[in-house]
This record gives sequence, structure tokens and C-alpha cells, in this order.
Amino acid sequence: MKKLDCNNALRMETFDLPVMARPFAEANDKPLRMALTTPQLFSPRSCLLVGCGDSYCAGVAAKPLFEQLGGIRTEALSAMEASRHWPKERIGNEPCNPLLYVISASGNVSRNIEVCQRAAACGVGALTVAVTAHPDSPMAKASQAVLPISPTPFDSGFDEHSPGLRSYYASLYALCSSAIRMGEVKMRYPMSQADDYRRAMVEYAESFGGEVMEQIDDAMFALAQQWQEFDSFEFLGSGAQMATAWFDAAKIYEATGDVATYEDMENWCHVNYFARDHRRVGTVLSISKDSPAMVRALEVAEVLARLRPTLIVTDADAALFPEEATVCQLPSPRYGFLAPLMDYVPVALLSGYLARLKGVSLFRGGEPAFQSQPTHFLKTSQIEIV
Amino acid sequence: MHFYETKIECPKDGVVQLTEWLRRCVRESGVQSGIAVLSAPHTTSGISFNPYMLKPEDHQDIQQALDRLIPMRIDYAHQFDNPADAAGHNKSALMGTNTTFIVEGGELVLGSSQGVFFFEFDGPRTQRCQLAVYSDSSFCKEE
Repeated sequence: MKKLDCNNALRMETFDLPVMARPFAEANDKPLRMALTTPQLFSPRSCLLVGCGDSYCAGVAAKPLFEQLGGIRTEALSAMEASRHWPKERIGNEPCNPLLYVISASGNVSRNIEVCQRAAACGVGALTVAVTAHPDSPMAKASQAVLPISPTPFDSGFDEHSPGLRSYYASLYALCSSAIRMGEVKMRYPMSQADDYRRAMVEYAESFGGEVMEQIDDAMFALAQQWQEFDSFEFLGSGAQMATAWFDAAKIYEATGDVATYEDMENWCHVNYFARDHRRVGTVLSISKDSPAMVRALEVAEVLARLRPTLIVTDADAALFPEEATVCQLPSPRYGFLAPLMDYVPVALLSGYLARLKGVSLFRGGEPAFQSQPTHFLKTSQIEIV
Repeated sequence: MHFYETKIECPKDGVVQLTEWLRRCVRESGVQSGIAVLSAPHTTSGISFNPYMLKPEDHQDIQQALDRLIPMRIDYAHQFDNPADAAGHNKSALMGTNTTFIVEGGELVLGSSQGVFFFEFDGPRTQRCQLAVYSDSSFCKEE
């Protein structure tokens, strides 16, 4: 098959990221900046970033920014963990603490609404902030503030539901903006530095445009042709790239329906290393050149390249990695901590191509077994306050 | 009118002496008798006077006095920027951003210990100062 015969909605979303970056920033920067007051950003002593699925992943990706730029202790939790298992006293027993970001583009997900309601039920406590594209949604109404996301117009040209790449970028951008804002308001750096961080986000997304995206696209189509017979995939990361590994695995699941796992690269050496059918497990290692885990990643890459069909996604020099591995070299962000904003691009393209080459529909569209499952069970699940 | 501008690389809460630059500009203008107007076209800066011979760190006395009058708070109505910036606007309004000098005998007229200083109340930033020197003759109505 030719590459363009395998075009798909996920690929179109991926190609739109560098295009949407600037208009999205222009539409959203001011509302994001003014979403929280100075006292609201000063008061909290800890942050919780809560979501389901991709939105949970956005929290994992943004956690290092809140800690590094905002100077605040931060946890990323699944909505289930926050709503049913996280100790009440850590949801709130003092004003404006923690600063609780609840992330959902739709704002309709039951478990997220439950988190907001649980925080409110704790009495004096968490300042809940809805990160959503729908400021009138139930989640936003259950929150005390809204970090609004206004998406830019987009039409993939395909009549298929695409894994939400643009909404993930938007959620992550909103969280990064809020972390930058917190550091700015707390005067951890000058306003000019904060503006430079904001500019760097847009410039990083734009650096994937044009020929860069075409080259990544060609490489991922070629790899998809080699990997199309595989039915299991593993994704390795460390630190901020754990979010990338998580998100990459999610795109494989959503696009192809194949089993995909993600793991911390060190844990992988202890457990997943022992996969028996190792020549048929497509394995992806994501590592940023600025990562403290870079040297360890080089060691793991040696093992991977010997055992597994391997893709390395990195902004480091490709020559550092074994010849047997496929290396997809990405542009570097000006600030290393911004890498998770875009470093999932190669696997998003790969996922879309694999789905087409395998002849499966994104999100199992058209398959009766999946249609009979009410897809809105995420939004109609019973809310319980425990 | 003779117009001059200088860039000032200001550290956070920096104080920069302008006295010698002002004297040079006035001499260069050739104006023998008139006035000079100094302006800092910013909203977190100010222009004021202090003894010119003080050690640079001594000028922080004025910054600290202003800090006591207008402390940095997180509840200013202006929240677009940061608390230091909000306080800086207040300090700038209080100190003022322009002043006028007498020019006589081709020289800037200052008291024996007077120095002219640019105060930044936020930063670090690159700021500007502008000077316009007018001759008496420019105010005379032509017959």
C-alpha cells in the first residue's frame, strides 16, 4: 500500500498540531493567564492533577512543570484514585489546599465530577479547577474555577472518531501555562522569563511542521509496514517520558486494538525483559536528551536492540543508539521539560498507519461488540462520595 | 528642541545614575539657556534625586523606604502580571516618571550634591530614558 492510501484521522490530527499551535495560544493565553487570581496561586502548598485516560496522562506530563516552575509539591492521580482512595485529609482540611486541577475536555466524565464533589464535601479545603473546553459542563459547575480551553476549528476529512491528539495537546498546554503562571506570580523568575517559556511552547510545536513532520511521517509509515504483523507493543519511559510511554500505548490501543503496555525503563529490565516472543513485540523507548535517565536509556537501548524490534524516539544524537534500532530524531524544545508537549507525534503516526495496514477501524468503529457497549458509560457511571 | 534617548539595563529593583549622561546631552545640545525635560516612559520606573556620591548600595535605602510604604501584596486589583509588578506601578505613580531641569550657561543646573537617578521597581528589564532640551529662544513668540 502507498502511504497516502493509509491516511487516517489520527494522522490528520497529528499534522494539525504545528498548525494549530499559534492560533490556539493566541486564543487561549489570556484566559488561561487570568483563570486563577494571585492569592489562589500563592496559597496552595500542594497540587493534585487528576483525570481519566489521556487527561490523566496530561497530569503526569505536567507534574514536573508544576514542581520545577511552580515550586509546589505535585501529584498526578487517576480520577478513581482521587475520588475513592486518596485520603480525605489530603483533599482538603485547610483553605485553598491542595490546588486540585480536574482535567476533562468534555467536562462530562462521571469520575471527574465525583472528584470535584468529593472535594466540596470535605468542607474547607481544595480549590478545584476544571480544565475543560466546556465551561458550562457539569464538571466545571462542580468546580470553583475553570481553566478554559478553546479549541481551534478542525476537520480531519474522515468519518471516523480519532484518538484525541489535539485535545491532549490543548489540555497539556493549559496545564503547562498554569504551571508557568504559578512560577511567574510567585516571582520564581522574571515575567520576561515566563513569556519566554510561553513562546517556547509554541515554537516547539511549530518546529514539527513542514519537512520535519514529513520525515517523521515517512519513517513511521516504513516502520508500520515492518511492524504490521505484530499484535503486542511495549512503551518505555522514565520521568516526564513516562507520560509519553503511557500516551503512546493508549494510541496503539485506540487505533489498532492491539495489546500495548507501558513501563518505567528500569522496571522493564526487571520484568518485561522476559517476554518470550520477543521478536514480535514492537518496543518503543522515549528519551529526552536532557533527561537525568539518559545514560540508563543508552544501556537499555543496547539490550532492546538485541532482543526486540525497537524504535527509539529522542531529540538526542541518533548515533548514540545501537544501529539495529530505528531512531526517530525529534526537534529539541528550548526547555527540556517541554518535550512531552510533542514527543508522542511519531507513535501517533505509527498507530494510525498500523490500524490501516491491519485493516482495523479506529476505536473499533463499526464493530457490533463495541457498539453494543454504551460508550457513554464513562459519563453515566454512578457517582458516589466516599 | 534636542532629543536624546538612552537604554538602561536594569536589574531587579535597580537604581541607575543618569547625572553624567544628562550633563553630556545638555552640553552636546549647545543650548545656553533653557530647560531640559527628562522622562522615563514606563509604569514600573521612576526618576528622583539622591546624593550623587553615595555608594551604589546606599540607593537601596529609597527602594526599601518605598517597600515599607507600598509592600508587595498578593491582593492588588491588578493581577495580570505579578505582585512585584503591581507594587511597582504604585511606586512609579508615587515617585513620578519625569522631571524638569534648568539649563544655564550651557550646563545642567543641579545642587552641589544632587544626582539624578532612574529607579526600577520590578525588572530585570531593559528600559529607556528620554531627554528633551529646549532653548529659551524656542519659547519666544516671533514678532
